[in-house]
Amino acid sequence: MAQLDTGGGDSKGGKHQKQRAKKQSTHIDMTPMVDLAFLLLTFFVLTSTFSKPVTMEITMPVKPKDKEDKTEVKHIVTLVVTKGDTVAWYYGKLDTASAAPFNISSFSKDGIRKVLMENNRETIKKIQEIEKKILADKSMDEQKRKELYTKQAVDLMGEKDALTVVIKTTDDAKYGRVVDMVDEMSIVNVGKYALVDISETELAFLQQQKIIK
Amino acid sequence: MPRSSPSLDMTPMVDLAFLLVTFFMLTSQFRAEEPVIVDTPASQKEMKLPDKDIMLLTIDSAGRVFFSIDQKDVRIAMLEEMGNRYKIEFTEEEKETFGKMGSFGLPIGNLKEYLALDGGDREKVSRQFKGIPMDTTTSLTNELFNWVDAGRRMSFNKYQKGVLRYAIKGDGDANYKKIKKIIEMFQKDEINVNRFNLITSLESEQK
Repeated sequence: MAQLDTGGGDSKGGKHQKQRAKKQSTHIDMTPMVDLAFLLLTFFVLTSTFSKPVTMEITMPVKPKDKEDKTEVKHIVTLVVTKGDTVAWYYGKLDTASAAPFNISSFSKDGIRKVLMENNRETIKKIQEIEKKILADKSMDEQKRKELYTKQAVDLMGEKDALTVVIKTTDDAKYGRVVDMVDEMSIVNVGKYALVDISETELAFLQQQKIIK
Repeated sequence: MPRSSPSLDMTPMVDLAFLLVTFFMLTSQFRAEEPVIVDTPASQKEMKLPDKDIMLLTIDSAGRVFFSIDQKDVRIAMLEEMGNRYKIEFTEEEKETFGKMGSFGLPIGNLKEYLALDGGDREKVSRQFKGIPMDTTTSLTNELFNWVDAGRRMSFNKYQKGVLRYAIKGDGDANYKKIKKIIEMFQKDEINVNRFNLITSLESEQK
């Protein structure tokens, strides 16, 4: 408890007490209060969470009622995320006539990212152009420029001849790898992608090529 | 000669300390009790998860599923609904504890004894369980489906329909098959949710 520092509570001792009474100060011993304040401070510093979790929003394709494959997209890359550090991919339709329709790549920077960037170079080029154009335009403030850029980039990524990526997984794939792949889509400016179930034919070919056991 | 006092004027320091205390008190949000530590995969997305109206499914590296929904009144209503479905009567005290609790991952049959425990013991006990049981049906054996369904309904009763978000917090090492199963469960006609928030941590360096 805080105490009033009266400089000795002695009622006896005449002369001595008189001298003290003049000096009577209003100072309070604040040490316990400070202790408490810092204790609380430490507690709140340690328990508070500053960073809100980051999130990646995905929209899953609605399950089709009929199993028929009606895709007519031409510019399409299909990826298969497998258990290890490899990702198998093919361009366009699965070439069932070939003995090895799958190409093998890795998760590193020079792996699948390079492949996707090459296949998507038209869109990436267009996006870089508008980025340059918008950055040069000083008539707008930064936020407006950013908005405009995002809008135009999204439009470009959704264009008909922009790259579409289908992400498939084998049963033993790690969740982290799948998230990596979805993340990669935003890095290489792919706006059209979906997580789709793998087909039996693809599984058979993967086994044949010894990519999966 | 005046006696020099060893005490110094602490007022500015105290001012500062209390200022900081007030700041942290007002800004801090308590971390919800989490029964399991999950190492989320990194991504470069910078979208922040809103701190309200979240249904959170946590999947740890072993594939155990934990469930949580925010808003105490929704949680209590959800527990009552689940009690009706599984014919388990919960006391007012248990409902109160459940309302304040964070994520949990255990069969509903064990929930009563779990609620009777202290916070610290709960963490220990929850290691014995294999998460919330789930299968591919929509019957009572799929407890996860029932939790999600009850939570959704109660949230729509109390709050505006459609504001609830579905967040999945999976460990990077978890098997994708498990997450796919959960997503498939959400896509069933009874729930029909196709949009999810995958919780990731911010990637600091370029790979």
